[in-house]
Amino acid sequence: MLVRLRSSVIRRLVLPLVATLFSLGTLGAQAGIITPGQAASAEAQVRHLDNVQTFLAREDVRQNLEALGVDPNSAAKRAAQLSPAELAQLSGDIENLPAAGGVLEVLGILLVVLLVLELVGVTDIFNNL
Amino acid sequence: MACSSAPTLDSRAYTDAPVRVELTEVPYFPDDPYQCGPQSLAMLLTASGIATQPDALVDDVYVPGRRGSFAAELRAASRSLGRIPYQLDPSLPALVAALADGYPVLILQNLGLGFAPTWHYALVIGYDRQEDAFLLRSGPHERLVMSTRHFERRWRLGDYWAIVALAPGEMPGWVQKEQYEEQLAYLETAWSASVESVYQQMLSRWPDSTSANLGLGNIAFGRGQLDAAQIHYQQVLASDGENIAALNNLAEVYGRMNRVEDAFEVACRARALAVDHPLESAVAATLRGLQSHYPGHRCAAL
Repeated sequence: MLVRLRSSVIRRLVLPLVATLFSLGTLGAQAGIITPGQAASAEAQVRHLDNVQTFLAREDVRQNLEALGVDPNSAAKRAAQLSPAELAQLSGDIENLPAAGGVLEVLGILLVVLLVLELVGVTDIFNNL
Repeated sequence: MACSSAPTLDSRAYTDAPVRVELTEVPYFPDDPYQCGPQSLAMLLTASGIATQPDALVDDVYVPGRRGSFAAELRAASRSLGRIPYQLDPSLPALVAALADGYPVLILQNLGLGFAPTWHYALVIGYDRQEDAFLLRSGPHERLVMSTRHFERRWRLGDYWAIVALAPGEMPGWVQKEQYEEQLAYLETAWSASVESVYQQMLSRWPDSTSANLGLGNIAFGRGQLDAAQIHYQQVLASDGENIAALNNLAEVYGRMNRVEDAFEVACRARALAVDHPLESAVAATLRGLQSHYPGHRCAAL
């Protein structure tokens, strides 16, 4: 419970503050002309996720990837190159998100059913392993 | 009416698509177990002129805990290597049109069942309307012939997810503005040398393209061609009068032209529109810059 509470405090107070400091830090670079890239990604943020949400989602995705065995450095780099729309897909619960690899992970009776379906041509699993 | 038959390639509307297409020049890389993501992406990118290998992409797209790759990461990796991962309309005619134009197509399939999915990426390299089949580079198969009926089912279970890789300047007829613009936005640095011609190409096809007008305006501004920049920004505003980026940049142009009243008018409009918007700080910075050059001017209170 305490952990939950603390993590919610971090989410509500600390991270937005960090996000704000971040954007203050880049003020100099942003002064003047706005590029189409900035404009489009700002628009995408408005459509998919706002600034703070984007920041949190990126962190979320990085943690998701790390938890799934991706090397921490790669996880940070990979989270950084996702667009707001893609971040929205990969943050949060990704248990049921397709991750294609061509691996068969079924056991028992299901395997028998699949073998039969394969033989009658409904599925095409074993042919591609 | 007779019982409905499965779709065939000939029973649908294929307008001018050739009877048979096979992109034989698309390379085949053998797969490692679990790694159809890096494998398919490497074939797709190499066919598009980015020489790479599946092993080189593992660090960018493979997820050990899922022994597979997420579609979103295949797109991101493609962009970071300089190719627009353009997602096709979810239909067989869109797929056939891309193949007929010479683009291999990376697709997501479910080879299993809806409730027990076995996800798989493969590269479609052709079709044969007479044989009623698709041709794929898929896992261990360098050239897999799959009947349209089986192909359609497996692709449908993968939500018809399909991407092609577009190089700078490649803008086939079926490409649509919004998606192209959104993907291009994340590619600008990779294409910096050719981005001007890409914008011009976009403008000749979509005269009201916001990205293209904004981009060309910025390039003109960078060269000190203030009149040309002004025209491009005003074109954005003609179709979207509340475009914050165009207002902000136009304020910079007017500032350089010493058109002080105009500069503050558009800058203040931008500021009012940018409240709680990701561009808020950029607009505030522009306004501060103007105020330091021309002290004494203020926007009306928000």
